[in-house]
Amino acid sequence: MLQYIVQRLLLMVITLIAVSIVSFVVIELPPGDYLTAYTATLAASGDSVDQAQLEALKHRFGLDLPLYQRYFKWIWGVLHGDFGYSFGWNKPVSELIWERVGLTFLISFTALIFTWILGFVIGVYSAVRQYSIGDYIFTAFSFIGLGIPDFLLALVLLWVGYRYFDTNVGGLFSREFQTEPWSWAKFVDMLKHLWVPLIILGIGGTAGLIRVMRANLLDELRKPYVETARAKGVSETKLLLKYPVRIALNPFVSTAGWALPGLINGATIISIVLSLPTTGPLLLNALLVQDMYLAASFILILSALTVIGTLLSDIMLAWLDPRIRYQ
Amino acid sequence: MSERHEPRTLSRRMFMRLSAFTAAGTVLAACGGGGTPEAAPPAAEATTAPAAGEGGAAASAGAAPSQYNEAPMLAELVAQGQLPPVDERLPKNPRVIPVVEEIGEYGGTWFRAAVGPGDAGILNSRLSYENLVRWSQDGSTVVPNVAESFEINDTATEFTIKLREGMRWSDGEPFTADDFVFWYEDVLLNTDLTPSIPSWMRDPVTGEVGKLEKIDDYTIKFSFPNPYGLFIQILAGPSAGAGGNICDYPKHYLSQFHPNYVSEEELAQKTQDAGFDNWWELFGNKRNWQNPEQPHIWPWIPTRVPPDVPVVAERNPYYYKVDPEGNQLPYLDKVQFDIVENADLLNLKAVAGEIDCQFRHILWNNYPLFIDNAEQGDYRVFRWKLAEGSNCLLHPNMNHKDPVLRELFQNKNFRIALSLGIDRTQINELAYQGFGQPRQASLIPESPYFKEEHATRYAEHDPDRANQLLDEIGLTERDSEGFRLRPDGEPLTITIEYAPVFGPWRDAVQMITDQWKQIGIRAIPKEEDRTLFSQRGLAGEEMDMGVWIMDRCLTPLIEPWYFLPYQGGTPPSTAALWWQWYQSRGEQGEEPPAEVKRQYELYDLIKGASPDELPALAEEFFDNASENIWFIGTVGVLPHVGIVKNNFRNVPEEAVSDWLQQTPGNTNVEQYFKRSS
Repeated sequence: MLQYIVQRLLLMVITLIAVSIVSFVVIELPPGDYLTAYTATLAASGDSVDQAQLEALKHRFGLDLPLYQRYFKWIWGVLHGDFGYSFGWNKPVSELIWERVGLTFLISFTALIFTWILGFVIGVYSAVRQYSIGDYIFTAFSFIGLGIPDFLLALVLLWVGYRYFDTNVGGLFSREFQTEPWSWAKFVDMLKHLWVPLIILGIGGTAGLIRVMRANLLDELRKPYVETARAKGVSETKLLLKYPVRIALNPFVSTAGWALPGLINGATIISIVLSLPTTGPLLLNALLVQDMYLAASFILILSALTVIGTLLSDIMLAWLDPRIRYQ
Repeated sequence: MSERHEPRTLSRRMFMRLSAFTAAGTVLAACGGGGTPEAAPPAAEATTAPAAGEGGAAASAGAAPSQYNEAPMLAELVAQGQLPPVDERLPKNPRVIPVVEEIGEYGGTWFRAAVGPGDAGILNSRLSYENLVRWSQDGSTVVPNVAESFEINDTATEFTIKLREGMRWSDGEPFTADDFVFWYEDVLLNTDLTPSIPSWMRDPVTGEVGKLEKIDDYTIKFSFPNPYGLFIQILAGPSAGAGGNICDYPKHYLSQFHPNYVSEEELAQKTQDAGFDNWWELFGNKRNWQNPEQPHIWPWIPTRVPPDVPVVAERNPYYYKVDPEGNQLPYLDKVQFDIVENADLLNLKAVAGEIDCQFRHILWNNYPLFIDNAEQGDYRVFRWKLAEGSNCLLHPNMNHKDPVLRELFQNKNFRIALSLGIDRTQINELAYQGFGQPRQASLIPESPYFKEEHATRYAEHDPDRANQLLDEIGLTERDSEGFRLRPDGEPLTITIEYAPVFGPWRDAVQMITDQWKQIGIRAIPKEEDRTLFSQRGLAGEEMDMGVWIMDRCLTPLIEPWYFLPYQGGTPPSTAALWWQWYQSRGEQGEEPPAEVKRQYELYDLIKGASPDELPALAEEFFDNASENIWFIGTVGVLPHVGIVKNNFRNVPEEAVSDWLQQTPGNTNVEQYFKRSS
């Protein structure tokens, strides 16, 4: 096991080096650079910037240096914990990223727990009481949840919130709390806004998990060992939880690895629709305007989280499912 | 006051016309139910231009206020001894701003929204239109602003600018000629900070850099070897303003980060501590609207900047302007930008009544929605006028690398035929929902150089005449589908490239494509990302026809890109080789035909012209442009829709909106206020 982990860690380092190079190059591929995107953005609101000012900015941002030089400068900084500088925000990247990670984590984590609990409970129920009224209702509900695109749901809920609940449009806080420091009242205010993204994030995921859990558990319940156990007089509850549920949990655990970067980068589309101050919109915008260091650092951090998450979920799986071998 | 003589800023004729303007009461700002405000600027104000340009407040002599009033929040600070009294904070001769409706009340926050953090950067431009001189509200003349007065010599080579004695930066330090000298010698002429000197600071003939001298503490002089009459207009616009405003270089603060004032070791240390590699990166980071430490002379100073949201700017206690009753401006305590991720959400916020006053990013196609919800959201819907001669402007490429297309595009009759083949009324009704006006590429009616015939020339839909013209050119052969063939027998296709940035261009271009079928022209719409579009537009060889906006049509002489064949990125090039020929004085590129050469020559003359010579030259320039139809206009003069809450006052109901005027800066945002009851 230990040998396996060490091997995986080495592989991770190589993967991350590759990711850093690829992401840097890919960001550079589209025509133009941050400044062309910047001028285009200005132009879109009728503003413009002088050619000489652009030259000065180019010089200031070091965009007149060749690509490999910029890459090495950046990666050298990363090794020292300095992720470079965001052109668009005029701030060090590290200041920007960690600022938003907290809120993103909060939203995503709450949504994840919510999803898992619901998915697990309803999935088990649906499998054990197959073809009951409840199963049909949940099935219908989960198909709807899977079918509606979340951005649409976000728009509808935005409108509903504004029209019937008098919450203000978008964001996580009411206007009077925006500039205030954290307090109980501010927290309550945030909860008032948080339900919208939670429902949207939860519905799609829950529906998926319900279907997976139900199908897996149904497969498992028909296996001979369940019959044997039942014949031996094991109680129904114990019989259900001892093996079949454990095996059926496999999808939950194996996707936990993907959940980790998702926690940091969750729900980009929803965040954009609802204007939540999370990481998703930040990354998207950095990519759109070719804010090199911000985007590349972001991708690097997300990739690191993904490989770490995958490793963790593999270890958990090994512990959960005795059939898995380390080869 | 001794300097009450009139500097040569206006021709006599212009002055007469202006006076007529005022008398007729048609000046844009006199509106909003209040009529002409009873403004009486104190005699202390050495108003050197007619007051008409000042938003229609007729200047009548009044007694100078012996004392000024200030906002309660500042009065409190004065009482606590944290701030000097208001009379000491204002210059000897504060600028008096007439009010649109009424004298305002102090306090309140102006809630707005921005799409992304960079968008709050209008704090640095449109909301701080603090140039040495400003455009008057009707765009007809240039009036002193930061400057107390200015004077142009007879040959238009020297511009002497008098500053306001006792004016201060937002940290209380004196604002003097030294700050301008710092900008000129240590920033503009420093190759690290300014790798290429902007063209506006260069002589219009020789291209050498203009001079800036300090005459005394409150007087500076710009000088150029050759006449450069347009310079004063340029000082009023974004070139010398906006993000690089020459009035925004506080020497006492910025010199801490400049090698001419700090030892090399110390600067290297500062650079390293801030996490930069080069001193100029540090300097750029410090001279930045996102640096709350930098002093400004703006009405509101950024205090809470990205990545913190919302972005907030608070009143400047040393702001140098007062209202006619001597109340120090601005009225509003704060400006607060909520940061949203997209314009649609911003519009929804406006509908919900969460925005006090905003025109930026408010989409005119939501107009019905705004009207429906006006009562519930407690706001008014304003329609200012965009200074767009045409929203969707076609740029035929007259220096195309394909010789056949090049020859066709250079043929005036071909361009006329294309123009006559467009049904502008249909485009306006369907793509623009009837909000615009069908018109040719021309100035907006408010511009001093506007002529009705320019707007209507070749703008009618006349396919028969267009077909006749195309036949006369010799494009008589057609393919099986009825499309014309080129002289070389190939099918004639024109690809129209556009990046859908400013308007319903997808629909408009599709309709033009359909309409041209009637005249046997096959067009292919091609949508692109705007970065790619700019690059292709700049290359100027491959694009058959690009689409861009025709803005800057109120005061067009500073950047008359839509009136002469030009090389740009956005707007796309229509004549890359000719423009290079002109820029290099015939060294590079390709010699243009006579009418284009004349246009370039006129442009040179305009740049140098004194105010007396200007009108005649400008008239010929715009006549020539209209005659030659180098650009094809479609629909223009769209409304700039804005949402203004009912308790948010002193916003003029009518105004022309453009980047050159730094709108809403030209409507004097410092006198906007919120009614508390």
